[in-house]
Amino acid sequence: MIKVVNLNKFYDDKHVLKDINIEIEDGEVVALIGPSGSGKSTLIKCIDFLEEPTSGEIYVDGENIALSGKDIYKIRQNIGMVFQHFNLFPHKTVLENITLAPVLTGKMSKKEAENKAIELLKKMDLLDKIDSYPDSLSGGQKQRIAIARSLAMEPKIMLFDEATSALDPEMVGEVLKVMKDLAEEGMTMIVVTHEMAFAREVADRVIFMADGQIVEENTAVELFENPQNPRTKEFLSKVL
Amino acid sequence: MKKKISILLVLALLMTSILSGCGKKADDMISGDDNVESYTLEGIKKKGKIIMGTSADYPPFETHAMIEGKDQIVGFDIELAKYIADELGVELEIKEMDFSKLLGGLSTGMLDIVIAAMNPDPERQKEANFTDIYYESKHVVLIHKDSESNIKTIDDLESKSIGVQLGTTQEKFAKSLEGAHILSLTSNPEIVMNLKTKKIDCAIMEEFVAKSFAKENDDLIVVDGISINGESGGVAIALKKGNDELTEKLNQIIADAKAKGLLEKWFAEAYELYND
Amino acid sequence: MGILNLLIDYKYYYLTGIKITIALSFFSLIIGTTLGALLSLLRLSKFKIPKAVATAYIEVIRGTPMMVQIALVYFGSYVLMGVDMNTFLAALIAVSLNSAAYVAEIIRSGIQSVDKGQWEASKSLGLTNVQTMRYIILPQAVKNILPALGNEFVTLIKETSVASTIGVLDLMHASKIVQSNSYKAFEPLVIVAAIYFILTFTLSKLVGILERRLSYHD
Repeated sequence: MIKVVNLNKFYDDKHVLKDINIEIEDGEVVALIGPSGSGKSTLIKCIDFLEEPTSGEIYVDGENIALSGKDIYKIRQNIGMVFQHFNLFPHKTVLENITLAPVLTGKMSKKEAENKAIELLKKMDLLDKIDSYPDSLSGGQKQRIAIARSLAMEPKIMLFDEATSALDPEMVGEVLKVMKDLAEEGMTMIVVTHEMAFAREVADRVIFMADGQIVEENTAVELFENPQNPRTKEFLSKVL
Repeated sequence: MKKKISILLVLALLMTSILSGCGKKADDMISGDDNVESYTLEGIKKKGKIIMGTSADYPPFETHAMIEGKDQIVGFDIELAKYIADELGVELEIKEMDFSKLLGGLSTGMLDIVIAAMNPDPERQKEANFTDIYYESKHVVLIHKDSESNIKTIDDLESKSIGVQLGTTQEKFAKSLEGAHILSLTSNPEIVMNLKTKKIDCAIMEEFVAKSFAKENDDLIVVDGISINGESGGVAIALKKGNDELTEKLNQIIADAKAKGLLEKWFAEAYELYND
Repeated sequence: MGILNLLIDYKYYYLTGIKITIALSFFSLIIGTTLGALLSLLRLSKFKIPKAVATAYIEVIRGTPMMVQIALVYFGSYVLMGVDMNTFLAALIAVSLNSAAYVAEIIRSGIQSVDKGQWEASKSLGLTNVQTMRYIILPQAVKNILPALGNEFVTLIKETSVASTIGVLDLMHASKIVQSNSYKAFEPLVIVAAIYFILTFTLSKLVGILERRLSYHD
């Protein structure tokens, strides 16, 4: 589904992604862990082409996204992304936030989009907020609405960029639950996270990155129980 | 940065070439005739009006006044201008602007003549034609009444601080005084403020203007007995440099008006208006 | 009191001056804003020439004094095109052209101040750049731009005083007329400062109300 080949990214002189190679299968849930500045966010932004790689290729569903030109919009419609700081549209209601993209991109009619929104909000128990504005919501509610907004586009892949890092501890749980449910429904997900327990429980595979490189990669259980690389061991000893 | 500079340079070059190239066009377009400039005697007669520039903030020469509920520009210079227009058989159009912009207006051909109590000093004569003097102005000294006892004669002015208007003959005269400290300002009200606050000891200005300030401000008086008549202390009409035929014609008209006693009459009337 | 008498005697000039100053400022704002929006578009353009022209225009206008600009328009129009321009029109053109440059900067900064995350979210949903600008960025930028435009209006009230140098009967000119006719030096200054202050203060308050209205909106 997603194939990253020899990906390199430079910000001016800084080499932030060094020869990254990853393959992600349909339905897989992959957790990306590592210290700050390791390049995790940059990597998933590259996959959504929100950042442009300096060299290397990224294939989504067999298509090289760097060569897609105008079709990049279509490709992005199939990839959903959830951000650390939610990035809800403050001047739109919850309903409008969710229905805007499906309608504007021509994916759904207004009625269809509204129905989809209601369905998603019901699942998250947030239907009563449908006409509220984002600034009246708590952090946890905002993030769940943000997830609903991305899901409304019916993407094949969901990318999560530290989705719970900006939340108060009491609200982390409600968002992780939504993510877990998604995983169980078979969604292909790449999750950048610091929540190790979540990674261990929900992820099929865990990739540990440091200094722009993939240091170690294994099944969740194996990586957490038997880390091979000393760098991995060092990191895990500090966060677990 | 380099790119920005080169863009600006190109624009500047474009602008200057357009400006210099089209300068001539304007005059031709007005008279519709390649040989007649609009500001010459012939041009004026052809277009049926004479355009006069002035700065209407200098009574009694030119100022705004409410006549029968309407705002009009009136004064001694205006009477002269009307007379000139009549003699030439054309309409009078008055264009008002900052004093400092008047000579510029002449050189672009936008103004035909400038009558603004302007003294034809040597620097100005380099830029414009001037007619004969039509009014000899006298300059007097204005002081704070507290200084009455120590400023009585011209000699007393030496080593004093003197306020004058920038670019005037008064300024030139003041600079010729030994040891005097000169403060050149852009307008008379500014000079008066400095005088009232005793930042300067005295001011040299045109007689009428000085007397009017003294009248309206109890703390200021005109020094009796100092009267400065320097060379070319008079005012003349300014024209575009080289506009000789019109200059000659205006000289005739001025001499004519003088002979008929009109100049004195107009000045007396203007003086009356402001001296109730 | 002397000041009261001056106000009464010269009320025609003060009233005309106030009307003209406000009219000049208001219309310059309208024209300037429209032009400024156009300039902003050019600046965002992908093509090098429109972008360079717009940038050069803004730099030149912001780098030269208004007094010089108004004289260039008034006298320049005569020299270049033989046009005898009405003084109010010349002032309107000069002030509008000047305002456009500042408005372009206001618009640019208003757009840039919208959080980058809004771009990321919008693009990640598959919206095009144009759609993002139209539905997400611009509506939010407007919230920053409108109060800044209001402030530009207040600034214009003071800036239009250069019009007096070419003979427009604005508030500044009214003050000069009163000074020269009354031979009073201080009082006319106090009066005109007070009037300008009342105008700008009132406008600032109105801008403040506008700002609050906009922020209550969500």
